Amino acid sequence: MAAADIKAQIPVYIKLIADGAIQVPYRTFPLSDAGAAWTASTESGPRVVLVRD
Amino acid sequence: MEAGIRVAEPVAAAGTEIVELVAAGIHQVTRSVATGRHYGSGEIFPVIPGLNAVARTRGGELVFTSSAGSPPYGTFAERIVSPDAMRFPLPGGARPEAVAAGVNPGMASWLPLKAREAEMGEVGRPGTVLILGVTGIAGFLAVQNARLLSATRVVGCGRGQPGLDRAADVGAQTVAITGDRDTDADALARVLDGDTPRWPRPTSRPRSRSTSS
Repeated sequence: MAAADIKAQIPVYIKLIADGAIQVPYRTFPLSDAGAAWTASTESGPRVVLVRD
Repeated sequence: MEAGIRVAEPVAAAGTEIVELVAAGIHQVTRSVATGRHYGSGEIFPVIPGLNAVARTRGGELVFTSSAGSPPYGTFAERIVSPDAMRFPLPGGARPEAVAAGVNPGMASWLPLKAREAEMGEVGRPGTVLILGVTGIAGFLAVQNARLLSATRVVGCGRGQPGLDRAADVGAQTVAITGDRDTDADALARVLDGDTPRWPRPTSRPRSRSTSS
């Protein structure tokens, strides 16, 4: 797949997530607790996401 | 991570903009790059990890962006250097955390499935999709992607019953891997009705990889 084709699919996939067509399990940590988030990201399960404090 | 390390504020170069972090996923590739185990690692330490994020522009728009910062700058920071060419507006109502969590692992299967769809030409849909490692987040998203692209059958294998159950909930036939080669091969063959995985034969020629004209 060409780079341009890959890039074109990014907004397509974002819209699928935004529309709820794709379920994405995640858990959040504040950016100030990035160390704990990093450790938690080694575990299986929801994707760890850092959010702005 | 060593405490007390400070880095200068990132500076926007031509073709970039400073944006404010909203949410950034810690992906496997992020960990590999940050720890120097990925071919894309700059192996410059200390480093601010993070390859992409959802951020807010100065104009207040929510965007998904990759990082344009040279090491040590990544996206796990309050301010991010965002390349103009890799900044995508979020649709209204999008949950930033879900987008930050899902784009990277989701695209890992979305792209090959779309490529396969293109290869199949007018037939247009992947037949049976076999997902190795279905218990992780990338596998979970791969099941949903395959279903969205009208795969006739989605089979996922992996270890760990909770992950297998999650995959089954979104439409996968699952196979629990035991580690015994013969047992696992038999279990997969049963689910695939004896049809073992093989190299597919496209019904149309694959598109050229080149974009030059």
